[in-house]
Amino acid sequence: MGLIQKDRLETIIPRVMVYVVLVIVSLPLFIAYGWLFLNSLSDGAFGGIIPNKFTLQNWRFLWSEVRIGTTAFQSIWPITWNTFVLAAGITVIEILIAALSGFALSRMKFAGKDLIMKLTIFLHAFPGVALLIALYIVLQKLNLLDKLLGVILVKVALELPMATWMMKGFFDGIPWDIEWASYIDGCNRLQTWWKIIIPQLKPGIAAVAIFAFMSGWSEFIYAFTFIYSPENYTLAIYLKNLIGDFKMLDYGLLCAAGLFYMIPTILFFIFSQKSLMKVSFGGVKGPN
Amino acid sequence: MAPVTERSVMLERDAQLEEKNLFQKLKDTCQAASFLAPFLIMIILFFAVPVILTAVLAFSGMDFKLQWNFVGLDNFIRILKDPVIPQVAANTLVYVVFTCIINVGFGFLLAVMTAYFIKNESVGLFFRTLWLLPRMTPSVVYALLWIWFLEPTENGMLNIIFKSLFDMQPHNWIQDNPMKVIIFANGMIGASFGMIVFSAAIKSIPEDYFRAAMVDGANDFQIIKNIIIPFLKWPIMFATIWQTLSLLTSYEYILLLTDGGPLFDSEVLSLFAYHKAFANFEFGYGAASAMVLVIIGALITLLMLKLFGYERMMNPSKLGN
Amino acid sequence: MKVIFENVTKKFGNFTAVDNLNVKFKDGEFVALLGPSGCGKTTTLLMIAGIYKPSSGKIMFDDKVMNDVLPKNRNIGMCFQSYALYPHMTVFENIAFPLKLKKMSKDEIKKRVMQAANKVEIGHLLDRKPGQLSGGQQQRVSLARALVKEPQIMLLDEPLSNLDARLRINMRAEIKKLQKDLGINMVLVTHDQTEALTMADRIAIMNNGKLQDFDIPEELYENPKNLFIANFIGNPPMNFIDVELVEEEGKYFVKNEVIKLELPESSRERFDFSSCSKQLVLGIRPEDLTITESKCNTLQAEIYVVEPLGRDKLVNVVIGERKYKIIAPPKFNADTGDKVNISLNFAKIHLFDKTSEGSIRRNRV
Repeated sequence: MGLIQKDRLETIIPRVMVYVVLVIVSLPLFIAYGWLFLNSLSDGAFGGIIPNKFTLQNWRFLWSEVRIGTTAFQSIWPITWNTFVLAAGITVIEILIAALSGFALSRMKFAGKDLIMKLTIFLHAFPGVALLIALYIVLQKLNLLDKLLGVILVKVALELPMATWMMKGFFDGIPWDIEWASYIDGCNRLQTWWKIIIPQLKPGIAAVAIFAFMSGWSEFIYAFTFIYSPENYTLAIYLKNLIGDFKMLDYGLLCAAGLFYMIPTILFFIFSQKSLMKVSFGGVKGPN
Repeated sequence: MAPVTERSVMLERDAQLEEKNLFQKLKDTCQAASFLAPFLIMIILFFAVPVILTAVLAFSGMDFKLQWNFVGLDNFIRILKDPVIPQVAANTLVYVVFTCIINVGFGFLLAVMTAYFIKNESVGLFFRTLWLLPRMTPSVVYALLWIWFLEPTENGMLNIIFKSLFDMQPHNWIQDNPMKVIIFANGMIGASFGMIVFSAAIKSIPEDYFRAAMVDGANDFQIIKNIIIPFLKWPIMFATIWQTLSLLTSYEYILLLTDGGPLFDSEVLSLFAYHKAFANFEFGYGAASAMVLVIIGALITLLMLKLFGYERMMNPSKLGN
Repeated sequence: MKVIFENVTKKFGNFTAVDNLNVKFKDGEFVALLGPSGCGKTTTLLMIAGIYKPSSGKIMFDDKVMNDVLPKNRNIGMCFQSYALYPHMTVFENIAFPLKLKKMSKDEIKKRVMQAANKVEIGHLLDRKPGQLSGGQQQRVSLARALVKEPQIMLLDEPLSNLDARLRINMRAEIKKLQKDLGINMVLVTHDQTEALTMADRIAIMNNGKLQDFDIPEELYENPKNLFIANFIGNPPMNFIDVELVEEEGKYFVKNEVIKLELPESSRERFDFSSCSKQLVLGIRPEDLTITESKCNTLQAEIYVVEPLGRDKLVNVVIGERKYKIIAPPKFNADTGDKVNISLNFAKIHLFDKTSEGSIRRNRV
């Protein structure tokens, strides 16, 4: 029957088309990240797409110094450590401060609470990067310029409004009844905190922490602007310089270094597939 | 972290019933202040002070010597007279408008495809996760991918494609089309924002509406037009304004890809301010340019708060429900 | 229009929602799909609508196979539990929506929307948005939207469950009247047996994806085919007693540790004792039990609690370990702990095989 055949097509065609379109538009992503991986392990002096011979030579920055002409790049390990310190510092300080302020906003009553909530939301939307020039002067006055701590504090401050808001949400999610029940069951304040509240907060804190760490690890613009001594470089600056000197020359090396820098990102994608979409709004306030 | 006190629990619960004296209120506020102190110090130090500082700097001629010498409105007059400013303004407009179209339009497309058409939840999730990858990739690595893709020699990906398809000679894409490059590169990042917000919003539309529309005779296209878009009116508006604001002020990827060049061909206002301050060390002039952005930023933020209300700002996919 | 299911099965992954359904709805019939939640009744409805496709088997409207026909080409109207009124459209636009998609002329749309709206008495609400309407009004709008297409078949998915009790009773009658006036097929999905019994011409009872029985309400109530139906239909529910069937001196008895009852001669005509197993379940409705003085062929029970229902009293008694319910006249009085005798209306007893759970009633010719 004509009608039935038409209907059958009308159901199938959009679905097939959607898959085709989705695969086509996603193809550049597959190619780009696939290339990043393959090229880091292959011996193509120039960055063609088809990988040549297998080699570990591109990863030489891990065990020897990288040279271009007469200038030598410093070892990647202290820089990796710097990056880790930056990311971990941001994570720890952000969690601590956000837990305190989130708790206050969720569980305490005080004058001006409403104002602070509105301020938090306002600051969440306000583009902090527009203040970069003034932040430079602030850090200079605080004697924190060219120090990791300076970048850490700036990043924490910029992310605090969102982190505080998320923390507040997690505290809000713990019903009063559960706390009451624990008091009735004989817990004291400290026990309630440790045995009742913290366990329920763990997933939330973990989510905030992961996103704080990821954003710290990937941080470029503040580090690039506020840090200029090579011994305080992070991977972002290191790689930026590497790209400047090696593009068109040795994409294998760049790919390997880029992949090395991406390790936490890759781990994050592997381990948080399912939960990614649920909490990701908190993490998407990126540069744009 | 101090524990919750029975008293604070009581107070929250019975706030309406309990008559509190002034002393009690003061005590509560002090307690809260101690919890909020680190938060407030950070906000003052890195938001409030910089805003004021930007405003003050804008009226000074501070240069690499970092000395305050006030020059009145000179910086602003200079902005108006600066010969590159018309181009920078035009670039900014083109960049923001077109990137925003990609962000919202393509983000919406991705959301509809992965959250409406693809019924298999894990397949949809896979594609959404895939599109989150550019956003989660460190910006420097992301820039590297584009630099390789657009590489001007015959080894560049795009040149290889064009050579095999049209037998074209290698192009220096970044040199020739800097605006298109930064729009696409930023568009692919921003699309995931729209995608996340919209797909969550689509998922929150009760299934009955889709069923009702199907029974009422709507095809997929009509369902998108009559059900999904009206339901997503607020999230779409939110994403558009939010992205406009972030695009206006962010320049990280432009800095990495073209650095505003060649010459001023892809220089946008935010990057212009950055260059003035950190390449030419004209902090005063840079701050004056940034001041324009700070004011626009504050105005748009206020506009959003007015439009969407405070609570909804933090959960845009629930807007309008 | 006839609606025919032939060996229809619907699976979601490993889960079988509807298992080999064979049933035939007559032209102009009001059918209720009744069962507990998760029994497959909504899945069945959505297959009629074309929103789900059967995994196997055929769905036919008259003699046309509908499996691959899109919902929009099936000429169906549907009402949802949540009403699914489009919140951004006015009542008028909501009702007009299906017609607009059919690209009808403006005048024709207006005429038909007015007709449909007046039929369900919401003509004065056309300019409002759904958010400004009460639950009952929303329900009427969703009916109008389903009716406006002049469908051959109306599908109702738990349409009354979001209304308050009084409104529900009113709408029950109105929907039934509407169906009789229009003479179209209606299929109602419900978990509420009262709704099904009062509204439908015939009821399909489902459980775990399988059709239990498809019959008129009276027959399901009077002669339930199996234990599930007997248990599900009737409020307060039927009483069940595990018994053993014994034959002594040509007479049949049912007995367990605490009771022994003689079955009257007439029961041989109703039940097939010859081929059934000895382990049975005796079922009897609360209204078929009476509290008497007589000790002959009765049950000895103790009053547990008496609940006055207004029109009559619901007496809860204990026999052995188990509790039973009896409908007693309003003048009946007793205290907890009182000993009473209960007689059964043997013409109304039901006997089920304990293992197969089927009734051992002889099939009527």
